Amino acid sequence: MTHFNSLWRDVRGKLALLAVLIIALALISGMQSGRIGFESSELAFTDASSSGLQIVPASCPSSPHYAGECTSIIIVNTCPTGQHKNVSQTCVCDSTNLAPVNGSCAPLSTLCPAPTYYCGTGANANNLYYRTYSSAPACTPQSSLYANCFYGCDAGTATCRDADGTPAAEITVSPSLVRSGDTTTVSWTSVGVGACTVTATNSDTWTERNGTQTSREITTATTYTLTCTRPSGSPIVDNATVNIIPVFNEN
Amino acid sequence: MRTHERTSVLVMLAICACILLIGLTPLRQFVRNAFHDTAYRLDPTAERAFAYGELHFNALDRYAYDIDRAEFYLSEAALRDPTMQYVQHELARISFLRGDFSLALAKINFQIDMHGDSTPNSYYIRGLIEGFIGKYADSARDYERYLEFDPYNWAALNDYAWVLLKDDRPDEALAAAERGLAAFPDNVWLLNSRAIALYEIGYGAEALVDLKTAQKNLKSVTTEDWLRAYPGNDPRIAAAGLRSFKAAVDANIHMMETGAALDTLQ
Repeated sequence: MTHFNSLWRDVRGKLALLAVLIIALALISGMQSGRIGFESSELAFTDASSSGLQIVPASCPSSPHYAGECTSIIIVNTCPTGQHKNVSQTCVCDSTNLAPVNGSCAPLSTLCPAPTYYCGTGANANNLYYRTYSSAPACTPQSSLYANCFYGCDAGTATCRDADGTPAAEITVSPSLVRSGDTTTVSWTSVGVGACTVTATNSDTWTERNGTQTSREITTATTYTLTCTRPSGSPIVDNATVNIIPVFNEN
Repeated sequence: MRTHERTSVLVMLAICACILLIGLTPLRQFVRNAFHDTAYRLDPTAERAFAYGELHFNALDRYAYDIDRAEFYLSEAALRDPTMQYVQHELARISFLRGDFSLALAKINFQIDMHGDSTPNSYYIRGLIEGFIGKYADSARDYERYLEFDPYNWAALNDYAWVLLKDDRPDEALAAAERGLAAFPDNVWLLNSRAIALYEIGYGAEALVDLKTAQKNLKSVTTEDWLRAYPGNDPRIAAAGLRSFKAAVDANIHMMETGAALDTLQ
């Protein structure tokens, strides 16, 4: 007992000091670690579907140390390349742009009809329409108005008529003869066509179907070319050239 | 007497060492942080900075997790070696968790530009960020890219289904969810996603069955499961995250049962 009392007298001061030090460090570390966790953008995130139901995404494989926790190795993919097993353990195409055709995967675009042009009927007989199709297998037709044909729609060729009965495009320059360094006015019109482009040998370029523009300074004979696309895809081309007034030096 | 004092001091030190080692984990972490800070100042290399950053970005270590320290050290690593394989990826994740999606997208684009297919889960991260921003079509493409490397990853398939639903492609979303459920038939995230896809297509009764199953299975999901599903998150919010998920499933059931969900067949 005497020995213990002696030991206690020796250590109690030091022990008290150490206890205070430990408590102080614990308090400091506790303050630093904080009581409230970091609330990330994922904490309560849900995304509403079109019906208002809450979709909940996850983020399992995002860490570089991801070790396959959310990947299954149970299903062995014995399907051909480009396919995988579905819940019924049958092989289906990986890409949503493909569909199974005769055991392989074919582009869905080959399974639906090609887009077409057609004239309207009745009160819409002068309108040219463009019909496309949604992805297979639904292939739902979807039509949109392509052009109001001023001179009527030719049902046989599915094109707009101009005054002479065919699609037309025309380009002019005025004046067609200029001094070097002057500009000219380029005008063009089109009817019953799709996109048009004006290009020139001096790098002028415009992309409207109808328009009037001022050229760059003309320093050499310059040809302006109007190229429009018929509904069938073939081009209509017209040209106009502006020339330089010759300068004569009298000797 | 001297022998006496030596003995008493040694006994005290032994007791204190035990307390420090076995008990007071926050104190241990505090000491470790101080050691790391000092070590880094003495030897400031990109590898050391990256290692310390990763240490503090570990959702499964409650006391080590510290997103501010993680960001500091990862930023240091990026400054010293911007080409380090995962450094931009990790900084993108931190920006994403902080809600700075524009910065997150910039960083993950930088990551993918530099490392491409060698870090395939960077495509996953970009899909996640794009989904949060609302770029659903872009997000779907990135998930598809990731799924080429990891076709039976439940989280990727779940998130792919999410963005397909938002991109008005419920048939494809259903296919994605089913592909995941083939490997993980009890997965609550996939059950929830499949239920929503089924409902959008018009199979309300089947959707409700999936949701009830998810609700039942959620009782077995732990906070550790939640942290594995959402790595990089603070362990201290796991309980709240799990509650939030349960509330979402409950709300979906309520909406379907009461007919409050908008009828897409109208």
